[in-house]
Amino acid sequence: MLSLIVFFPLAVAVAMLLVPRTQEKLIKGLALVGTLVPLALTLVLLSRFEVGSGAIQFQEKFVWIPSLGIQYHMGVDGWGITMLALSTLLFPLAVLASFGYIEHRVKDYFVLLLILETGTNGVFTALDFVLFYVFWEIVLLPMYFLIGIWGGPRREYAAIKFFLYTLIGSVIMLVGALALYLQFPAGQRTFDLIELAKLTQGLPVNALTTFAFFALLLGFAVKVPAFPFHTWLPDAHVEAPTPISMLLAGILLKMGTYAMVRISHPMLPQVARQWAWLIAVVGIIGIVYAAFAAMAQKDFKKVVAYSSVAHMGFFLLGLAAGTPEALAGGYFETIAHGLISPLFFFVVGMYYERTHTRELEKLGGMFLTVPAVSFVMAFTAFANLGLPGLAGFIAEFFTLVGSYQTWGLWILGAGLGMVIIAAFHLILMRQVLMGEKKYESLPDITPKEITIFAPLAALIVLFGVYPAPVFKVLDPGIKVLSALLLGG
Amino acid sequence: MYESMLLPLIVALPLASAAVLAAFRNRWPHRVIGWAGTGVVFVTFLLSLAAFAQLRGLGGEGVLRWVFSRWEIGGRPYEWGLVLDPLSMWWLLVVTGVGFLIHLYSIGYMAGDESYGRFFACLNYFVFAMSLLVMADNFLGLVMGWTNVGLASYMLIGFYIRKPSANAAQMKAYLTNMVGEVFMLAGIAVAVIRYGSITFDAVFQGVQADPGWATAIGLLILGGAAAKSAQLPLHIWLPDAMEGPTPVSAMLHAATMVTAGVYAVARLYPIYQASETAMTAVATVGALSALAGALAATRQYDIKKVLAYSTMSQIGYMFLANGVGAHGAAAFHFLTHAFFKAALFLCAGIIIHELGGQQDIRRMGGLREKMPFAFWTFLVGVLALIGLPPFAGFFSKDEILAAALNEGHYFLFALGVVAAGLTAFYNTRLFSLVFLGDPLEAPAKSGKRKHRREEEHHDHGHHETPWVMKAPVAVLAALSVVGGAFVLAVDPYLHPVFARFDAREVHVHAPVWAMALILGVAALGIWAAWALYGPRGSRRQAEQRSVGAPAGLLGRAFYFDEIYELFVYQPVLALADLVGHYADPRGVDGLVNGLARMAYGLGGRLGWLHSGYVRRYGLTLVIGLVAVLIYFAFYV
Repeated sequence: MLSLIVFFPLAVAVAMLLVPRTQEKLIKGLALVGTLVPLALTLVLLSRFEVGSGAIQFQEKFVWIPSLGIQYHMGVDGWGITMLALSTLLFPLAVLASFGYIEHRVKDYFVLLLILETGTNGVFTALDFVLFYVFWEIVLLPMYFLIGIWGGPRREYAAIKFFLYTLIGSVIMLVGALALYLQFPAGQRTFDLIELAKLTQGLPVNALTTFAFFALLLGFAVKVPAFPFHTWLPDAHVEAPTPISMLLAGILLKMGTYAMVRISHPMLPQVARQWAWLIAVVGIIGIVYAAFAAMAQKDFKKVVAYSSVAHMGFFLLGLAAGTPEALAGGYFETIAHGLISPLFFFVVGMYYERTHTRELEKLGGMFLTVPAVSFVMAFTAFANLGLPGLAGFIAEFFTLVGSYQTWGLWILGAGLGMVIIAAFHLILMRQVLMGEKKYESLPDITPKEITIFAPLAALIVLFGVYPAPVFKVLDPGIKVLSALLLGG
Repeated sequence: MYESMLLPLIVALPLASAAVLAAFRNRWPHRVIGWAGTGVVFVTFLLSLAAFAQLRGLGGEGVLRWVFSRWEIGGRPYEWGLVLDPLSMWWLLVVTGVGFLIHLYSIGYMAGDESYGRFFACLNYFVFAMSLLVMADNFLGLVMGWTNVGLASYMLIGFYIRKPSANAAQMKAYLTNMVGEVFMLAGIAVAVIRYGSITFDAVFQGVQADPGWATAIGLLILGGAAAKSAQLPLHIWLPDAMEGPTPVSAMLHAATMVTAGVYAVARLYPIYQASETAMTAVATVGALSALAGALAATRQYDIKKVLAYSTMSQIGYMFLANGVGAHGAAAFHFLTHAFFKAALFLCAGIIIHELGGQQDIRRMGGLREKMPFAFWTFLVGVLALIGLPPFAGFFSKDEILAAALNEGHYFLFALGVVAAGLTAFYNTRLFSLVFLGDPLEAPAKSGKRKHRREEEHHDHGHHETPWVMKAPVAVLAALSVVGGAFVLAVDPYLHPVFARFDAREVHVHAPVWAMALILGVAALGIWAAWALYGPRGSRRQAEQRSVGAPAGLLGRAFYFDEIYELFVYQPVLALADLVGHYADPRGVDGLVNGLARMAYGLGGRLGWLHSGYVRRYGLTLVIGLVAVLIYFAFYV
């Protein structure tokens, strides 16, 4: 089943290659099918998922290259299935958002988009490092082309920057993983993430394990992106077309956060414990620094991009604290952000399609011009700034609570960030929504836009008032990881 | 303990109504929207009364409960739900009852506004959020209500979205409260981690023998309470919040929302009572705010700003009550204040309405003949606010000052008495300038324009006042007269709440000399204001002729705005500029691009290796081989 979810989009992409490029309707239909089927299958899996069990579920294990200890090993636990669900939910929405927006080289676009989904779904389900790495790299190429071909005026610079940055990150990560792999005698060597972690957890803290830890972490931190490796993100977002921005913020960043809770931290908790302070510092700086940076931006999309960096700071803070609440809150942040930030980028797109500008100075008075679109914007902005009752708040609340246990009142640093985050959102709303009309009349929200808004908004509200199901799914994994990170 | 479905219903009904009104705001006629929105709050009030009866039926320590959701994180249980005990009930009845009256008033006041539907949707949303706040049985629910009343406040302060000043005011309100909330969240984090639960009861059990941590938690949460309740030094947003329509000022920024901080301290009394330091901090913040607010109110020209600083001052009294352990007196003053301050604000709304948007008291005067209804109701409100017997404010303020005295806080008592004298002073000034004597003949044009705040809405000169506006004012004025009778009900009713965790018994009866002193000081304040601003007062003419915004230490309210501007807003904006325009694009990203250029350059220089000359490849091969041999020879 997992393999089907992962490879179905790829199969559709291959089939799409056979369709003549003039048949745009058929291509769009295929793209929808190619992304909706994995969503449906994932919902089936969710209904069968055994909540409260920490075991890997829906496993698939085949021998691949036995001499090197490489297997085809797929499976999900709480960490994985939540991300898989997020990924399979966002892809159909991104496809929908592309309709009427991408009119140039439609076939190539959707082929690449489907390959991208195979990559992301694979990352969240692979349990063998080599397999994981293959999917990790698969993500890179389609993204490079999607930004580089369908992007804005500086698309080539942004695409190359994204590509090189993440490629260098992933090569360093590979070195880190190989270093760990080679630690063990030939008979024991394995790339199986679960098995390898059991071995590496027993290694002493020395130069090599420290190197391996930071090599892995660096590769993931680039993807998250953590301060100070974040500068590719604003450029990539500004140039990327709207649906690609939605996926970039919603899913691609989560590959980094997922990889930390799946690989770097469970494998080398003994090293992670020693350097937790550094990760916490990076997290808090990221929150405050990105919030300040966002406040100064004049481009709507850059504001939203920097806000992603700030939110990922909460994840890092929670991960560094290592307590159950902090891990739960931090991971919840990745889910909440995965729902909110795509919506926010979509909002930017809604205004851009109507006004053909993202310059904040040229927007304004939108509440009077397009009230429904502006309601969506206000909802999203408040969700993003962490309004209680919406998903983002639950994440920040538990991150702060859990981080207090480890870091004491240093969490007030993150609190300062929360105030600045709120401030730039309110400034943003002033610039876009308030004041007199600047455009006489623009079309208000369309059914297509409502279709994209409604499911995301419903989940943002649901998880904001009723987070229990998510916590129940995550709890077994949290217990295990927390025990490792706290050394208990 | 008793599961009651009334609780979720009380919360859900106004929320659903807000959503429906928002969705149909431009499709339904105004009459339908106004009466639907008001009717829903009336039904919510009736449901609250039903819950009141249900709670009474339980007797003694019984409480109504409704658990919404439970989960675990790492073995620690979490749950969130609603609770209704006498303290919550007390607040809930005022929120829904006074809320209903203000909704009714708004039907008339907002008539003809282009965003009539949005107004009622937001007001309903506020009732939802405030009910959630006072019915929370845990910190998570408290914060949810807490910030959502803040959202309602944000939406309503900035209701006139075309006006930049309204927008500035709404941002100021939200951000000031956000600062408070961060402290509150930190306090909650301490409590949750230390006592392992987000429910109030577990934390209350825990703090009993843990005074050091009670201090930390109490002080951090006080930060949030002070921001929401406009107490020093986080009060700066409240005067600006008067940018909102007047019913909003009456409901959110006088009667109910701003007392959330008072409620929170009373609700969390076991934490505060476990720590003498935290108690003293609450009392001191309250007494100083009572004084500062009263002082600033003496120099304002905008009728709503006088009332706004007055609200800050009166909530200061409630904090003082909480800080000396007289939580019942705080709840009582909240009740009477809700009556008379809402009456005053709504009355001010009638005046502003009839004068076509004029809010400057220097341009009023002699309104007694023109507006007899407003005259009498405003008079009642003012007398209750000054605290003259037998008006409601007398009983509640007296209890607070008596409690401070009996608990030995002589200095804070003295501050409270001085503030009481100033309260008499600014109210007499306000009343005289508005209703008595003669108006200034030729109003100066420039001053007038500046103070026409709600001109968009009231730009057609004189308005008649409909009964929907008069009836709520009459009811509230009547309650301001007889509300003192609740003095008999408040302590017995709330006693089970405060007995649960052994709150100290505070005597709230003043000795005769203290009562005489309080009344004497008030009389002095009235006399002084009469001499200066009475119909033939010595300063009256000069005051009426002055133009422009209030100036001076008191007029500018101790320059708090200027201080924050200089030390907070400007540095934050400068820092944002520094990071966003220099540090990130040139510093961090500059480094990245620099490295990339270096790599590119290095690539160019290493390019000679790929020259295509076999001899060079050969040379490289040999060097490599030698290096490997050396390595094996010496190191392996």
